[in-house]
Amino acid sequence: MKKHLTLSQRIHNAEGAQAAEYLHSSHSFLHGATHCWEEFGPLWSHSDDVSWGHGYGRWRGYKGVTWHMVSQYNWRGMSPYHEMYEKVPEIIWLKDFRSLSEVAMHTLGTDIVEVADDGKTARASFVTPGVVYSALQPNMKYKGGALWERYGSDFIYEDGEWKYLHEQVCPDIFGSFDVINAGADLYKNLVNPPPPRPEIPPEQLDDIVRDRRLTDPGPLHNNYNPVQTIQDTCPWPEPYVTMDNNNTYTKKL
Amino acid sequence: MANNTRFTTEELVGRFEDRRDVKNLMGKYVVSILLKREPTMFETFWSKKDDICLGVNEGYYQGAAAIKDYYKTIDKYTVATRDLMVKLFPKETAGKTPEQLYGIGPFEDRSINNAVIEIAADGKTARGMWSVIGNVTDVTVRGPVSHWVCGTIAADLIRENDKWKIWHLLYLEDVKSPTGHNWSEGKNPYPELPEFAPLAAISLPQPNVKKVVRERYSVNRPFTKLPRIPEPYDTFAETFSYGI
Amino acid sequence: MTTKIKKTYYTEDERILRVWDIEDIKDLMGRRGFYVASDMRREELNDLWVNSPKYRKTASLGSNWGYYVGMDNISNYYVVKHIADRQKVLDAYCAAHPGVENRRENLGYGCMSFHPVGTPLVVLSGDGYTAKGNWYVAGQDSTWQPGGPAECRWINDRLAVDFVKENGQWKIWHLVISNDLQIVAGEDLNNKPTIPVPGTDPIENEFLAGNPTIKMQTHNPVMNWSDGYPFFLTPYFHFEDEISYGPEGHPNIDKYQEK
Repeated sequence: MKKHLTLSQRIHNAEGAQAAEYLHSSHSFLHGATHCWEEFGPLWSHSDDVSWGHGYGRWRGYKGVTWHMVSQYNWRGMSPYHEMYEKVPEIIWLKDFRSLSEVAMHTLGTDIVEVADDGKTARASFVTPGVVYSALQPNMKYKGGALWERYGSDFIYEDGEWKYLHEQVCPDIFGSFDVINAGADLYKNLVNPPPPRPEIPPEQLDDIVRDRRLTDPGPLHNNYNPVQTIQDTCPWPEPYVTMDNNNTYTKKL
Repeated sequence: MANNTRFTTEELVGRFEDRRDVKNLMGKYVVSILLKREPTMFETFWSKKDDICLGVNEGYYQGAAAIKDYYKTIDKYTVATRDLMVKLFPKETAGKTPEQLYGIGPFEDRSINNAVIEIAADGKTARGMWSVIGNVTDVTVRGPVSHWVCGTIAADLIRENDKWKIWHLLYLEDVKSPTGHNWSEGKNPYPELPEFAPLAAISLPQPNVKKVVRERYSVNRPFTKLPRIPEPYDTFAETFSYGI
Repeated sequence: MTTKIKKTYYTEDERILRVWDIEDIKDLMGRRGFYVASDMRREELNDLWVNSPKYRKTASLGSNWGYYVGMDNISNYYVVKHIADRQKVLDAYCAAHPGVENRRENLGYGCMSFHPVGTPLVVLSGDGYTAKGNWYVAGQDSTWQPGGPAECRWINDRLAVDFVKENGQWKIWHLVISNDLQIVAGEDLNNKPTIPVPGTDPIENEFLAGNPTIKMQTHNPVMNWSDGYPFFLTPYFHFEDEISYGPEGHPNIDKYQEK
């Protein structure tokens, strides 16, 4: 129990702990539907301190985060409309096309949540067993994979509301559902490595990084394989007094 | 579904903090398995009470000695797995210390949700029940194989020095079956691999209280209800236990 | 939407009680998950759903294919029909296994249900009398079938729920189990046809066989989530029909009623 805080502080922090779950669940559903602006508009801080990271790198600052997670993502979401209109004309009556590309449903479990003693921030880690799928493809079959990830998220109390501040996504396992066996398949690849992918020339690599506008190029986290060392990229939050570089999922540079 | 109006505002705040701490504790427990922290899990998570027990499908590890031995054996197995993987893949593991390589091979990813938590009115104990869905990769004589896991965790917890500790823990699996296959077939399609034969030398200790706590699902399993769900209670003496 | 909420001020006592209301609702749905796994459907309706006549009349259980409205209709489908379906499975099981007695206690032999709720998103009304929640279920059903392995199916559902407080306890009032995805264990989702052969969806067949009170397509999973139902939650002050997860809140209910 946090008896070193006043009752008012403890009530505020209880609401903050609940808000951390609420905001992350909101993200899960809105992201699932590719409703990007509905998430990044009202639910995120708009400050330069925000960040969104994945295994391949991180964007810092609201401009960079929304460039990837809103502008690019929204476009990707709607792009199947033109391809699929011929095959499934009823899609013209849909309420919102953005979900046409896929449902990326990252369910949440194993929640571990802490709120800072100063009541200004909160932190949470999750395990997310997910399925990313789409029913609408040109070949008129589903496409889909199981995707298991871990999350580390920071939240901030701003202008009387809790908002998302940092998100670090750590993908661990991905493959066709329900045929993949990550352990056995990856072991086979270690014993008999598949032909290597063509190397991307360094000058093109820079283009890719620049085009992605990553501020922190990755890798920040590797997928599981049987010789991958243990990764604690998003360590669970411990009780803390105030957010600093020891208590954050995005250290200040 | 306790009657919240019987508690003062301060008590309600404390009970929420306890609830959050209980959820955090169980989350840390399953993530610790993922991070292969068995060497420290007993000290970190378990109560000092004499009647602690860890229940699994095949019985109970009753008492500190049995539970410590359980974690110690897993640690020994983790070391043996590491050494075997280093021998099989010297190029991929070159340049790293044994400590850095500890834990390579398996990947025990478990998500716990569907929680029901009850904090005793007297604040001294708590109980919780969770569903578990897992993608658990073990390294055995068949090599690395991933399994779908569906199960239940039920726990009694006790407050010691203002921290919650596990008193009795039930970890029960209904399904543990290779991913990419029908779990009711009851067979493992992955053959034993000779390069992994050395792992047969180490096996988990049997529970010191042998009892079929729960059969895993099969086409011939009678319908089997879950353990009793936690109910609101005042003191531990008046409620049921997940221990023996 | 007419129930947009302005920032509402509560005392500290009220704030912590509201925090606990949301936690109690999360526990309620956790209990439901365990009741489902233990096949305690009758107990679920008794313990976790509304009891007062006013709410029993308007309670509903919905899916992609319509709604059962009123607790009697819900019970007839969710309990009575389910027991009958399980009995058919048991009849076949006992015919194949003469050593197993064909009695009520053996219903569910060779079967399993696992529908745990995760991703909790709960909104308490400004006035504190109702609440709404969304959860996601990554679950499975396993059903014995003669001559081979069980039919084991991964099932992904989105749950959309309205709650109301009765005698100080939260109860389920409207529940929509919106199926997104189902895949037979061990089969490749990438081979599943987008448009299913009519009459081959076992979840649809099971729901419609009970003769729902309102038969209408509420959600088409072929469109992913683009049809907008169940709709996402937003904060609200006072419950109104237009935000209900009962049939009255479905955007197409007027078209259904015109028919």
